[in-house]
Amino acid sequence: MNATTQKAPAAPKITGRFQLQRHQFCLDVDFECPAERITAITGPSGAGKSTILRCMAGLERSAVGHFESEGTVWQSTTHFVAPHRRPFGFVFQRPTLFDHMSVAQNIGYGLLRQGTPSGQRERVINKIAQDLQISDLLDRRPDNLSGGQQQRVALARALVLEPRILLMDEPMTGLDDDLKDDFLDQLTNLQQRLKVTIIYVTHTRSEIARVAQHILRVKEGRIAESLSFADYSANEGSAEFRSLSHLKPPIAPPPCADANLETRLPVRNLRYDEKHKICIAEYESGDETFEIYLSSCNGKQPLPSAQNIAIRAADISIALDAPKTTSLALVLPVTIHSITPPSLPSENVITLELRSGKHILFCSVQYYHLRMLGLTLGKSVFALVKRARYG
Amino acid sequence: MNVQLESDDLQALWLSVQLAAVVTATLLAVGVPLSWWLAHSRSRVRPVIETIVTLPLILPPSVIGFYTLIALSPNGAVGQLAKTFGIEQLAFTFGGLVLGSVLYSLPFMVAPVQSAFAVSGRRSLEAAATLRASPFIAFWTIAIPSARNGLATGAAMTFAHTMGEFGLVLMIGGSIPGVTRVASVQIYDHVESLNSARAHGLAVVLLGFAVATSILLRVLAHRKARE
Repeated sequence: MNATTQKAPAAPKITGRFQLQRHQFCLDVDFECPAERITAITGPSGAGKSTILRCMAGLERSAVGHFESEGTVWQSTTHFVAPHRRPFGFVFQRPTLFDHMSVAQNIGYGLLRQGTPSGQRERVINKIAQDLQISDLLDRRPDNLSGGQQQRVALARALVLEPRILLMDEPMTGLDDDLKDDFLDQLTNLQQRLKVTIIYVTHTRSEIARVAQHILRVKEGRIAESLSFADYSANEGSAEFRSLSHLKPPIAPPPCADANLETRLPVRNLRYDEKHKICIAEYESGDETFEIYLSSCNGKQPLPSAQNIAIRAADISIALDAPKTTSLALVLPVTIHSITPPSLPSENVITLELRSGKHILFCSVQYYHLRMLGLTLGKSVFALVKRARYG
Repeated sequence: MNVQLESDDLQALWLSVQLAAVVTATLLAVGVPLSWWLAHSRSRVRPVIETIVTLPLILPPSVIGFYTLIALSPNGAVGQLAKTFGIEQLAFTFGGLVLGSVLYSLPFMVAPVQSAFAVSGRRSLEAAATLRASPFIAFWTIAIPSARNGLATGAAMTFAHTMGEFGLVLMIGGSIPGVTRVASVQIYDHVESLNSARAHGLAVVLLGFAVATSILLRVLAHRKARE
């Protein structure tokens, strides 16, 4: 990624400075992030992530400071724009739906306040409901929806107003993985289509890797780090990498830090090539189809009905460039989804989760290679698969 | 036993209903904002106000009646104030009864409404604010509908409580037919004059009303529990 283009002087910005003293907690932040981009606010629980978001929305009246976006001042020492007059959207960590209204009324609440005529209201409600797969819930009451459904209604309610700034406080809580994927895709699309600024509180690294273009790291009520995603993922000095280079073992060994770990991928068109005496399967990732050459398959036994293949984490190597002609079973372009340090300090094997379309592959690499190849979250690399078997 | 209702009994009943209706309406107007403030304020005087509001639950009605009567008298604080508005007399009038009853029934309105506001909480109002609703609009479209069961409970309890009021009414209003002689006072007068058939007639009506209210309150509580 070209980092210089993002630092062009004309790029619209959001700047904020907030101070808030409450009981034992003191928030004192001063930050700047790009407008019309997705910024992730991350950091440990209780660091003040949500409070910053609430300050931006104007929900913390006792916070003093300054907040402006793209030249509009929302708060200064002499000036405070009430929350309902800010063209923002807020998705709370807990959905907070209005129980005395139907789902459709919940989604339409802001439109009604905005004075959107009823015909148009109905249209946009139906559209957003379709996008978030809640069309069949529109007549229901929020209190008999599941947590994930409620969260999607809360999202729809904020998105339908097409806010200039969308503030989201861990909006993925309670969504299942497939929905998370869809939602993150939709969020990225929406951001690009409407050029909306999104400020997104999360502590999930994979979410940051998927959507964030800028990262604010908060610690004990202060901004510990503010950096672009390019710096975040490429810079050796980033906190992500520093935390790895200390090789602190997690308290409990994560289940995936195991070289014998296997990945299963769904395949199709499993067939036996009589001439070359090899089994070939097809794996689809996004729009592309890859051929996989399977080991331990001699064509004498009937082909199994199971349409899955298994790959051991130890049988995957990482390369920065794609080799052209190889004896490998599969060469697959992937992005690094997560990095897990070894469970014991004496070990140096690191488990990577590699993302290919909707699938995650586990891979183990030496710490040395992680460092030499500069492997960081979100980086695009190639997974070289030595052996794959069906099963 | 003989049960009997005459026209002046009906008049007393009608007066009770009128008093209860006016008191309930007044308390909805006064008690709802007060409950709102009590549910959301972090002010230091809040516990003091809360204590004052709950006082009528503990005080004997005759004590409240006595002090209200003093306040309402032409030289009392309220009496003086009333004079500046051109109201010559409050004691022994329907207006005086309303004032005393509002004070006396205040906790019956405030307690359920306050707890309903506290339950629905600040969060849904914040959500409304982020959806372009001004505090005033949010109050009417979110806070009030969310607290509807509490409001209904408060109104039912206030109405029933005022219907059955006796000591305070007698102290402030005396027993002027058609003006301050409400049903409970009328029953007392009938018993005093050993006319138990007519006392019975009114008592049965009030008993029936109390049972109906009690059932209504149970239904409301059940609905609240289900939500």
